[in-house]
Amino acid sequence: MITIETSSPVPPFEQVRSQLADLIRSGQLGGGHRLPSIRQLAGDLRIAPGTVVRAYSALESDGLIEMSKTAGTRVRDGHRLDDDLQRAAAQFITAARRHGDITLSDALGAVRAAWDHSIVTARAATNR
Amino acid sequence: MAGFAMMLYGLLVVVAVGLAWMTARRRGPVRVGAAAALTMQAARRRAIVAIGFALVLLLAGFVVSLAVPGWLGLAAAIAPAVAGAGGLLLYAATPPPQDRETHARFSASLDRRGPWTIAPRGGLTSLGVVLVLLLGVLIFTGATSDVDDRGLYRAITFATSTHSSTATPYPGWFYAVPLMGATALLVIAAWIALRRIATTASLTGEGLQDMDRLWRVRSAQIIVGIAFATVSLQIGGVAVFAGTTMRNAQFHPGVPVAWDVLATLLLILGIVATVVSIASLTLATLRTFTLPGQLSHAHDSEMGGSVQPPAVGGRA
Repeated sequence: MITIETSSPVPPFEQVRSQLADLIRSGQLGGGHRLPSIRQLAGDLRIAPGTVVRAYSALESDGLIEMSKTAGTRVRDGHRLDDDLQRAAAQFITAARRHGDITLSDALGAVRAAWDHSIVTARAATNR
Repeated sequence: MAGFAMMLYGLLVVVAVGLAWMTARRRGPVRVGAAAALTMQAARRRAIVAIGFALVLLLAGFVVSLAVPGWLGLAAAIAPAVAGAGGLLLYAATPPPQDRETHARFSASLDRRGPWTIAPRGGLTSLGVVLVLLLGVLIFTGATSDVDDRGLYRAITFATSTHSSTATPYPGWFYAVPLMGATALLVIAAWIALRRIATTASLTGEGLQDMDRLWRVRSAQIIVGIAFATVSLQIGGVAVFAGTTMRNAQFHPGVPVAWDVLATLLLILGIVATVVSIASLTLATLRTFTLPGQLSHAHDSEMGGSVQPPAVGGRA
């Protein structure tokens, strides 16, 4: 399932794209999974078919799905994230939840900060 | 008199199926949310209207057949298929309800829906079996038919070296070809109706995935039930007429006894198929009446097959 929020500042196209990308990378949508037709997804989410087309096209450009007139839209193989990485993510979430009412945004912020820090550290090590 | 007796027998089948249904399904009322109730009621209304329209068309076919004897019963022969197709097309043409409430969130399943994914496997298999059986009976009666005095393939003739006897009306090519065409129309109509169920937008609101799947599965059962009842009725009519006419024709010595056995088998097949048809249509009608009341009792297997919601981030 994917959900879009009408009051979200994130455009519907991006909500659809990011949720599908996350589900593919987490392995919840496996390689070969046939995604719903543009008309079905647009109807269920009450959005314009063009919005779904845009999301699917972006996912196809990223190599996550393949669109075909005969075979429909399918998830491409080989995009599931490594098991170690997923385990680490699960451990991080468990740790984050111990800190009371932490939101997804807060948790992602912590990851982003750690990511940026690791890049800076790596650059410093290279320059040395 | 025979027609009255047949109607009485038909009514008995309806009562028996109704009693069996009520005995087997003693279940209390179920509370359904407003969004789900709207869809459930619309699905029920559509199915009831479709069945009612099909019955009216069936009756009209028989009336036309009596009113225009020059058509030699052709209207009555194709009436079940045309009536079934008409009812199913009306079902498909009726627009689904519009949810006018404003929602903050909309969810969508990531499983592709289509006529084959929502239709009951057992029902489709049964429908396929009766379709093949009907085709087989029609090809057999067509191949064994002979021309009548007008040159139409609607008679059966048994000839020996000394005697020859012919009887009509026999479901030869004169009836078989239009029947095959009408049956093809019925199959197309059933597919369109199933496609309408599959492509209808899902229920709005969270936690309604199971209900959404349930109304589709139940509605598909009703559609397949109507198609099954229609094809069974056609088999019943063709087999009864074939068996009766075959018997009427073999009144002289020399005709192999196998024909007599075959005529008896066709009569039995015709009666069984007609009873099955009435029972199937009664079940389909009962399913429509109980559509909103079955929610909490649905078996898990009827609601499986969807990607389950993950625990984080409001995604599924």
